[in-house]
Amino acid sequence: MSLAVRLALTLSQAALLAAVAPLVNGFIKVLKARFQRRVGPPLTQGYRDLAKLLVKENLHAAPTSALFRLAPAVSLTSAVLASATFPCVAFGGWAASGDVLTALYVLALGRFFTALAGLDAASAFGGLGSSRDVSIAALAEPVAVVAVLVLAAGVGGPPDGAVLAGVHGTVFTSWRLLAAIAFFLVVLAECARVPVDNPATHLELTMVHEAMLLEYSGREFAASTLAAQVKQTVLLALLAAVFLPDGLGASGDPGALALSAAAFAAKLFGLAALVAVVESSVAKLRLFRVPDFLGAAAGLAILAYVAREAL
Amino acid sequence: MDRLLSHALILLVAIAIYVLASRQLVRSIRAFAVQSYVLAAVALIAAPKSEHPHHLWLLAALTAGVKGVAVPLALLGAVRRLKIRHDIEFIVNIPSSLVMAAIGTLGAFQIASRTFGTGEEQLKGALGAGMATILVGLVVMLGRRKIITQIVGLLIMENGVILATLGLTLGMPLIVEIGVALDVLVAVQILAIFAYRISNELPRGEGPPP
Repeated sequence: MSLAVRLALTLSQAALLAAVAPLVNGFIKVLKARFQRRVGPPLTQGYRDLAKLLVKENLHAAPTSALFRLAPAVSLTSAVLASATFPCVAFGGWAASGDVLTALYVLALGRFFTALAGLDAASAFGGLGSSRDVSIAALAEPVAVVAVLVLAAGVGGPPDGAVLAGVHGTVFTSWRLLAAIAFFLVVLAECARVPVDNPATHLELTMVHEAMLLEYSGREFAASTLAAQVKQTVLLALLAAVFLPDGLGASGDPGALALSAAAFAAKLFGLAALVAVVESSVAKLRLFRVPDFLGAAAGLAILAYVAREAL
Repeated sequence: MDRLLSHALILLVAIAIYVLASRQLVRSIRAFAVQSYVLAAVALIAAPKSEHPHHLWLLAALTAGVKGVAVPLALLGAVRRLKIRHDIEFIVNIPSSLVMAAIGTLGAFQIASRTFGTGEEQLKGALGAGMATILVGLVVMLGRRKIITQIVGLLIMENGVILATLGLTLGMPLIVEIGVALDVLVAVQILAIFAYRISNELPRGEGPPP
């Protein structure tokens, strides 16, 4: 395959993941509503909210600086960029040679700017949210890195997304499953999901991620919201494509490609459904219990390493 | 079969770590019961490799019956009699004890593979998993304040010992296994009664002051 084709493939995947992100979020919302015996919003509600926000004007609090206006663009760009570092459907012709660690740290860049913007408005709640978000991130990051490195240890090279996804034949060994579970717990923490943060709450004292976005409005709020949704979809896609690469196609053959695209969609929405189940069955942890939760995830990741080496 | 075995071994260590990370006494007792069932399953998996498979069948039945049913019931009864409603009290907090357990697990597998890395083990990885379970059980014992939780830690260590002997020699002689199982049952009953007596005699709590 020529470079142009591979580049087109990579960019179209990034665009597609970004486009489908509000749908994934809407799917989780509808499923949660069904668990509570409510009808829930329509699946397209995310797109409608974004469309509404796009026609509204940006309002800025008096103390904000240029950083505040820059942050939504940075976080959205970083989330979209991260989605181009690993293949979701076919690992054959992949243009980007970025590894999965790059994806994690590009996402961390977006989080850094969001946290700064939360502080920039000089409101108490934004600062509270930023401080909590950064402390959770500091705990979640090492677990994610260990989980990725466990996978990379089998390849013997840098954790290149395409190479990792191509490692077949080891699927559903105990260590891969353990690493996937550890990464799933990290995804819950990173995406501000229930045991760590409640995405549906509007009670300022318990908010983490939403608190940082309180001062945003209009197009900037749309960008920030979309960035969070894209980040969630990228992390779920990473879990589906790299940690559980069953059904991922190797060749450029159209039939095989369609099959692996269907398998990927099924895995993505299956994981989203799992998020909804977890959110509906588990209570939010107190903030000071979050280290226990992520500590258990770290234990699983280290156990995955041991299982890979010894069993 | 090997894949099933490796799943079971990892599950054994993971349950021990779950007990370490859980805050509720009743949950950790139930987790111990589940761990005993998994241990029984490992004995069943190991049975075809042994010269006397029926010994291992008996071991599996003993493990499931005594440590999967009788001991947890005795402990749950003790919890009810002692009217323990609080969370577990910790001396070492959960993240630190998880770090200790992680280091212990890594070390256990390292030592096991260094010492018996050349295929002398009867079950691959069982010695390492057993030693890791023993160490995690030790951390459970060290980090908790209440007597019942320390009993749970002791029982987890005992499961680890059985697992390690399974890995090395496909189990101890049958008469020893039966003796150990009865010993554990009697010891748990005595400890449960002791805990009850102590809580009746002492003015505060169920254990000695820290």
